[in-house]
Amino acid sequence: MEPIIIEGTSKTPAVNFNASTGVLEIKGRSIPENSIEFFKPLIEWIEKYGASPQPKTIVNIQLEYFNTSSSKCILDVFKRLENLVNNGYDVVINWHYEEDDEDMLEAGEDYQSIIKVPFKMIEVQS
Amino acid sequence: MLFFEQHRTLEIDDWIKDHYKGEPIFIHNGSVNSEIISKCIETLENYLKKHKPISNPKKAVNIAIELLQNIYHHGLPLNGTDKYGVVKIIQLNNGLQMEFLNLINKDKAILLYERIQQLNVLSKDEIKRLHLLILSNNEYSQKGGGGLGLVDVAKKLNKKLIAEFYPYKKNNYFYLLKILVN
Repeated sequence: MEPIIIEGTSKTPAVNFNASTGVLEIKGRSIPENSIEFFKPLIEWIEKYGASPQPKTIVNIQLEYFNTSSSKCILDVFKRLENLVNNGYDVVINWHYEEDDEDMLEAGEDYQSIIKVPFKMIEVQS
Repeated sequence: MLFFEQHRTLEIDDWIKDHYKGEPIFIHNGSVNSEIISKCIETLENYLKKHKPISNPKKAVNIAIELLQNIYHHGLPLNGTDKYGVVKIIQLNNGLQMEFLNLINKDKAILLYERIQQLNVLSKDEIKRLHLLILSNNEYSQKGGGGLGLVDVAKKLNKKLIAEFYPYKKNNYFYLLKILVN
């Protein structure tokens, strides 16, 4: 399965989804005016990956900012990952937040309360 | 005060020129497009990075992004300007004053007025629960956020939203949201 590699911009995050390692990364800013358009191929990729995933999938999320339309799309990404867990695969979501960014920590905790996937909150230096 | 009891008018030019004796950081009067949003965010970030005037600069930038994109998605045209809006960001002694104005129709004005009234009586925990409910309800609006934007701003701000509505011509209103981040 081909990886997804997208360079980050001032409004969209860098993406690196690798099916052969099972590591999925979204980093940077997610504040596009049309989030659905940006996330649609990512969600489709995870759905395909779900047909033959690695025994363990590691998801690294390190966002500086995200808008509310992205927040709905990120939840959709997590729901596809929840399907992997429901099918017996290991998934961990590493949610990175800067030490002084309580809103980003809280956002991760909100997702953790909705999605039945293990989350690891990782504080990083700002 | 009921929505229909508000009959004030807004002199936009005078309001734009009033900087409340603070330092203007970003002022824009016209179309709010993708480039203007980027320019505003960049200007705000650079200012906050250089001067460190508030304890949580990311909160201010996050709120600005949401409210700029609110104008981008919902603002009506005015005098040939598409998605008309005014953005005013001023550094005051007690924090960062961010004001966002756009033109909306009467139905949307009433809806927003009622929603803000409802949000302003909720506790912090109630707003958090409402935010979670809207986030997880599987509904998308045409613009993607599913009505989450204003709730997200209220959650991040953790204080009452100050909104003003000024009638414009027959069926439209200027919607002005005033945010102080400190």
